[in-house]
Amino acid sequence: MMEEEEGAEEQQRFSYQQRLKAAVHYTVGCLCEEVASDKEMQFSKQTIAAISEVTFQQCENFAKDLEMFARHAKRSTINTEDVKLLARRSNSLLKYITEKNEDIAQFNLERKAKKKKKLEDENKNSVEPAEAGVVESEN
Amino acid sequence: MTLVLHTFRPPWMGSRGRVAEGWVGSLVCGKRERVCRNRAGELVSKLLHLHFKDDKTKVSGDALQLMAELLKIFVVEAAIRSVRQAQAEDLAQVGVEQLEKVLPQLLLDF
Repeated sequence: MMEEEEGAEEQQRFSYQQRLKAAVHYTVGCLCEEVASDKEMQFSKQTIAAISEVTFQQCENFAKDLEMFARHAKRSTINTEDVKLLARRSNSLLKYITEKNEDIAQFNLERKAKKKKKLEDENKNSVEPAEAGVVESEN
Repeated sequence: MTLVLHTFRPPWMGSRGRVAEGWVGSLVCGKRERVCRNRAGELVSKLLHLHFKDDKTKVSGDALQLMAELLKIFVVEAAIRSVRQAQAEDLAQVGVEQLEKVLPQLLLDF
């Protein structure tokens, strides 16, 4: 009975993995298409499948490394420092990732500032008449 | 070996300021749409969580975006280096043989 349950779980995990692989394959296909049209070169279907396979396998290495880096720093949440550590092997890669990290941080900062301002403007509009009422009652 | 991406800056890359939004988006559908960003994050998140050993491990939002970038660069580098190899061999199509030649260095760089 236990074996059956384990077998079913294995099946589920396998088909989940297959779905993820398919999603990666689609994404890789999109990216390769952009490169192909830019460089005016064609990719054979097998090449795209191979790149997709390698990418999926590389994700496993990345995930395990990231988990270890975070655990080494006594954290359970992986942060950008861990990702930067992952990109250490090539100088230009590290530089690119560090720049991208700053772009992302900057972008998120601006987005938060816009949201905060929007919230403040909305509060200002709804609070003003109430404040006037409070001031009057205090006098 | 320098990142090929740095030397061949394709036209779809855009200026540095606008790249953050476009890149994460393009991981999924190749378009600079903000809708794509969430889908990219979701896929990357699922891919990472598939291989975590500990259930408690989480990924911060910024780290997820950065990982999406890293994976995108991985794929694009693989593609561009293979193209370069095919061009060097005077071929009209990029085949698995070209990919096989560039794969070792690619894996060493990552």
